Amino acid sequence: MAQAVGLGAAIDYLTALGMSNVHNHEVALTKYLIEKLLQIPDLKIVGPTNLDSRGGTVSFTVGDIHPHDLGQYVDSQGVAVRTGHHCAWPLTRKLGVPATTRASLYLYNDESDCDALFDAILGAQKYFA
Amino acid sequence: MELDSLYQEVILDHYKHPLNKGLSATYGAQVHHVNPSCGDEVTLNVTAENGFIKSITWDGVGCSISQASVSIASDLLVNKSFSEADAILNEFTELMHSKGSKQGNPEVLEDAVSLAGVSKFPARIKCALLGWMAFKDAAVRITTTTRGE
Repeated sequence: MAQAVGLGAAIDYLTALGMSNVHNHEVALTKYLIEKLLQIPDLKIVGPTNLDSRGGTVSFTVGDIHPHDLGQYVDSQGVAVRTGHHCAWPLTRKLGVPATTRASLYLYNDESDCDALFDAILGAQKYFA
Repeated sequence: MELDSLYQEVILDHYKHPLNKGLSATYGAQVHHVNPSCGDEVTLNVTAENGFIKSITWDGVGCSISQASVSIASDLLVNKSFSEADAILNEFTELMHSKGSKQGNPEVLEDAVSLAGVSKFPARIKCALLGWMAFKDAAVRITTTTRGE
């Protein structure tokens, strides 16, 4: 019951904002994040770096820093990311990575959030060096 | 910083320079433990003689906490009797579940007290226990056969 009411409210909210606005915001922000992340030495994006065939979630690895250590560090800097297999363990095996770190962008995020993640990753590289 | 209580210098040192890493050619028991929720893995070889643990070697992949913890355990438990090792293991498990209220006895746990801070991070406790649970499994396998005699 609560879920159905919540879903209705969410749809009204997004419709009022305009889904094309939501999409455009997400595409612009994903572009900003990817360009920013690619400046970091040893950072590899898992998945396409062009915007044609991807959404607003960006998975990556940073050198030999295990994603759980990286996630713990960026969390301490106030940035929430997901780490692990993301329910796709066979894929991480195939990719030859123990796990990945994943940033998910949404309409309440802005460029300052991407900058905070960027700074936190640089901090983690120093911390685990 | 709260993070420093988790990532003690000793832990990062074990992570970067692990002890007893590299599996022995022979063993009394070999176990492979995986933490399916995060993917951390450890393979542990244990050999025993006259009821004492003669060697513990291991290989694995995972976060700094899990890998440092196996390194510490492999160094701490070697040359102990199985009952001594069991007592140490129980003390370590108790420390991990202390929610930050205990510091651990350095005379018993040695470098393992550096993992005390992990008990304040519920999601990371399983990382620290992975290697110790693998050892527990290997010890049961050895002591229930004649290979520990």
